[in-house]
Amino acid sequence: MKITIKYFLDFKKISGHSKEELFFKNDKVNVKDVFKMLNNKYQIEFEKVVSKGIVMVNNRSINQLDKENTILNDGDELIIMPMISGG
Amino acid sequence: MKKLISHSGEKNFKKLRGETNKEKKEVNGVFSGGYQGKYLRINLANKTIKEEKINPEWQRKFLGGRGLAARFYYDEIANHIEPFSADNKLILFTGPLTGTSGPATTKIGLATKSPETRQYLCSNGGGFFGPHLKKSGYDGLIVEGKADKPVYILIEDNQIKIEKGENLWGKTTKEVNKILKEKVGREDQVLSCGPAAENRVRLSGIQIGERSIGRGGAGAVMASKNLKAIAVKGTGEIAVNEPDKFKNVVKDAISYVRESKANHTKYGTAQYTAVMNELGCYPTRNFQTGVFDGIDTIAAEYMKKNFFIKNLACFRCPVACSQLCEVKEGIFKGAKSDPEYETIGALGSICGVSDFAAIIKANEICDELGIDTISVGVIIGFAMELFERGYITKNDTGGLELKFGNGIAMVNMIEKIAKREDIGDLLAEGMLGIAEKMPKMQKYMMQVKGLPLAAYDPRGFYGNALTYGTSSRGACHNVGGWSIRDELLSGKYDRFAAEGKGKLIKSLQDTRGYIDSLGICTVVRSGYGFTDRPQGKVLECLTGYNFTPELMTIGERVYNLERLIINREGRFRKDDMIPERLRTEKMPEGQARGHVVSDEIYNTMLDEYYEVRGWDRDGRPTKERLQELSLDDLI
Repeated sequence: MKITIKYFLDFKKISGHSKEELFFKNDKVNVKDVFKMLNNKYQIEFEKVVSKGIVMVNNRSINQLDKENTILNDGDELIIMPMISGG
Repeated sequence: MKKLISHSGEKNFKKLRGETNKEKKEVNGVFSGGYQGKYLRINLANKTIKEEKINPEWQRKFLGGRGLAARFYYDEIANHIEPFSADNKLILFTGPLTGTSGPATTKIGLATKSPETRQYLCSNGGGFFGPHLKKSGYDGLIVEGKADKPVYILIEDNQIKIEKGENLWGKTTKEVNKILKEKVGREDQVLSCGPAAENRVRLSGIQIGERSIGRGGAGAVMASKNLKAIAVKGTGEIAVNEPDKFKNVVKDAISYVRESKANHTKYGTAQYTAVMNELGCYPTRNFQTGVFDGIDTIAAEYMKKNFFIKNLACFRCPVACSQLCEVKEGIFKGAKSDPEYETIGALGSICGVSDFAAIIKANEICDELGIDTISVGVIIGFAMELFERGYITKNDTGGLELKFGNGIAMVNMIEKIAKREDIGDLLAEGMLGIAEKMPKMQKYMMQVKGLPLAAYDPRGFYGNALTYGTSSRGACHNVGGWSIRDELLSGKYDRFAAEGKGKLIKSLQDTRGYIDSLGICTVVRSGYGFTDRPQGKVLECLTGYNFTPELMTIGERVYNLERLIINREGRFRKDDMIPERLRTEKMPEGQARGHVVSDEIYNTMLDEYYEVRGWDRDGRPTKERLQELSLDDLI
């Protein structure tokens, strides 16, 4: 299955892309599995890095879903962006 | 020099000034630090300067800054007073933390009757003005009356003068600040209005160096009093109740802020430009969509790579979020300004402009002429839509092709608004003035209570609709309670649903109500422990008064006081409605595609909000709630 990842600001610097596609042989993939693949790819502990940022699956934060256990489906879009504050 | 006249008869001005950390004294009999206990009342008509004591009960109940300014407004600016009448006042108050050694203790709050919204306005500004006013020995300043000729006010500790200002009239804010810098030391110790204000442009802001008291037209109120500037230099001390403990608390706050706000230092608030676009709530072409196809060239990384020169900091700010940029080539070569998120939205995506050089130039002339970047951007975006729909033509615009994306036309239109040329004369009247002349065009006006929306589209976060609708100064993302982080991340809310949003927005507004009254910048608030569950001891170490447990109540009190004021000025439920476009047009693309904050959804949120606020169905605070908040003396 295919997952698209979009990166913003610092995460873009880490990965060197604004967008990439990851392919998984297994059909049962969750957010944690994606982080594992990214750990190997970029030699950085992604869980730690994203703890200071926001992870979204499609248009919802994983905090509103099942956090890192959120199940991903073929074609889903994962967004990794910096923490927001404002107002 | 004009002789200083003390309201209380007290002539020893050194009594409260000159208090040092070594010598702890009571201020007003309640506090032993943070406050000076007195303010200046300057009447420009009869040229009197009075020093008056502040009722410490008011500081206990409303803290300072926004809260205290609102309390004075309630007593002193009656309904019948027109914004440009001599009876309107400029009420400026610092908070207890302003000017102390804490991080970003930079803010001064302002209240006045707004020419743009024709109701109560609260606003605030950074730079070094507030800290120097406090160090002069004053917690605040009330300017009243109208001078017969242009003047400026010069405050050097307890030496206060009303000086001739004819030579400053007609000059830009930058020119004025530069001239008066020679007298006080820094440009951001000077508060000035620009040529737009002199022309009574209702969107005119006040400039403090590179910072602005932008929203609501306070600059035009200044100019209507023939007051061009106020310059201040303070060399006194601010007492601290427990200096050693305060020092430690401050040290921790600075470390926390430095680390947690590293991206603010790196990119400023512009870091959110691309993020909000991705979230589908980045208002584009007058809120016709929430996704801007020109995002890449107005995002933070592009700004940093192509235009950034250096960071600028407000008083004692370890973050220095302001990103000074310069255009290095092309038609706008040499333009310099520090565009932040809202400005990039208003003068960028809302006008369909993807040329960052045009945004820097537009921001520069807004600062120099003294115009609020948010209001002018949204109003020009509105005019661009009218132009594209054929309701206005080149005959109206003085030949400008005022289409979305035309950065040059946008820059030229700002100048026309400042000079009141062609349709700029009408646009200078603000949304309410335009609506009177073009009532059928109201469906394209993105405003609440006359104040144009900021750069978030509520169709991407429904709570944000309530933010704009119930903000006491009109559609403001700050005063109204910025909800996007909570709606997205807390896990408690569905961003596309009404449930729970009333309670959320109330809490955010109350939090903001006390933070705006403290004298600090909101960016650093968490460093002090100032959240919706206030923690820490910084205020106790500073003032000797146990403020922290009461902060949320103070914030709620401030918000209800403001509601009493705007109720008195005729603002009720009907005025809390959001623009028609947000209620009837579905978002066409992006993450919020298909979403709309329908009347049903909005009214559901509004009902919940009024209920948790303890207000009736028309948006009036109930007697019971006012009693609970110790505001029953105002009933």
